[in-house]
Amino acid sequence: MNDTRENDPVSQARPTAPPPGISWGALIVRVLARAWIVLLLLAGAAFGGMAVTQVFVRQAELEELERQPGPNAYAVLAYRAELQRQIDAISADRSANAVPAPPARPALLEEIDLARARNAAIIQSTRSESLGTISAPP
Amino acid sequence: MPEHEEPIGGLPEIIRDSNRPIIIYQGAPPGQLDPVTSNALGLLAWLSLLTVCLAVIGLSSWAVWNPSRDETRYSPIYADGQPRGLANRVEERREINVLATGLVQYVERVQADNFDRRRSNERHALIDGADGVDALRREWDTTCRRVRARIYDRRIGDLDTRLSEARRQLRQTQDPAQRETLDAEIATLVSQRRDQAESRRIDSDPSLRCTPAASAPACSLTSQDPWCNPDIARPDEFTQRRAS
Repeated sequence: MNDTRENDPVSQARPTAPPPGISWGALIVRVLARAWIVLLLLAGAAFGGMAVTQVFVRQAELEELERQPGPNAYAVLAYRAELQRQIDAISADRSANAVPAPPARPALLEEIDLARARNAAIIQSTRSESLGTISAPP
Repeated sequence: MPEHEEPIGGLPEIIRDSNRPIIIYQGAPPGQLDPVTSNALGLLAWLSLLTVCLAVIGLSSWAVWNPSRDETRYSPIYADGQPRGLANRVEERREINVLATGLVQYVERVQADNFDRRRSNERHALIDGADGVDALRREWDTTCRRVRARIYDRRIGDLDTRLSEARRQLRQTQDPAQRETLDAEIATLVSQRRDQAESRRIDSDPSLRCTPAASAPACSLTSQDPWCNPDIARPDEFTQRRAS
């Protein structure tokens, strides 16, 4: 049975050596070229995957950072930047015919101003009381 | 029947004796491309896959590392707009968080001290730091006063120019009627100049009075300014909503 398969004319017709006209060198070049392209493709796919992962990682990082400190604190920071921008713009404009209006204060900054004003009043009254105690007759 | 038969006419005996129709194709099957075109198509397929990979790498890297800024979007950190690249946006937001973190807790502590009638020594770099809000408000007020002084200087300078011109004409003219007109004009100009100087000294012109930055009105609830309601101006950047 095995003999039959080995001696089968169809099996014998299969090329076991390079077909006529193609040398071993040409075969090696073909294999190298295909391996090169496959490796390039694999490297491209790997780097593509890494690049897409980077996008998602950065987006997640940004979303995480945007949770804090919230719009109230952000507004105070933006107010400071707006003050700086207006100072630069006003200083650069030498032909202004009207005085500028200051930017409106954000809600949190208004609260801070009020709290600090109350604190200043407390400090003032503490000082007055202590001065009163010192200057009061025994 | 011999086990091995030599093919006769290219076909083995078993096929020739099978009584089945034998179809012999000569050359390639119909529709098959020639080897050169077929190889080129294979190469194109590989190259297109590689191009897709390179495009994905390029677009993703650009989305992350794009160095340009969007001037239409406000940034409290960069004067020339918000960064477009994700890496720079992360960096911008990190700076924002570093500067603004603890601000709400700061005001809560000051308010608690006020409530207890206790002197508060709380500090926050964004408010009373070297380049904090207080320092910038003082600088803004100084800048406003400088603008006001410049406007008065210009007005008085204009009056001085007109006055010197009128005086020069007065010296040159001999016509009594014209001299009288010029005298009246000079008197008016001198009066206006005195008024302007006085107005400057006592800051009596309401249109040229600088409102201190610390006394500016509060933001309205519907204001679209990013320093008033940033969550209204840019809702996509705030997962946390404003505390009412």
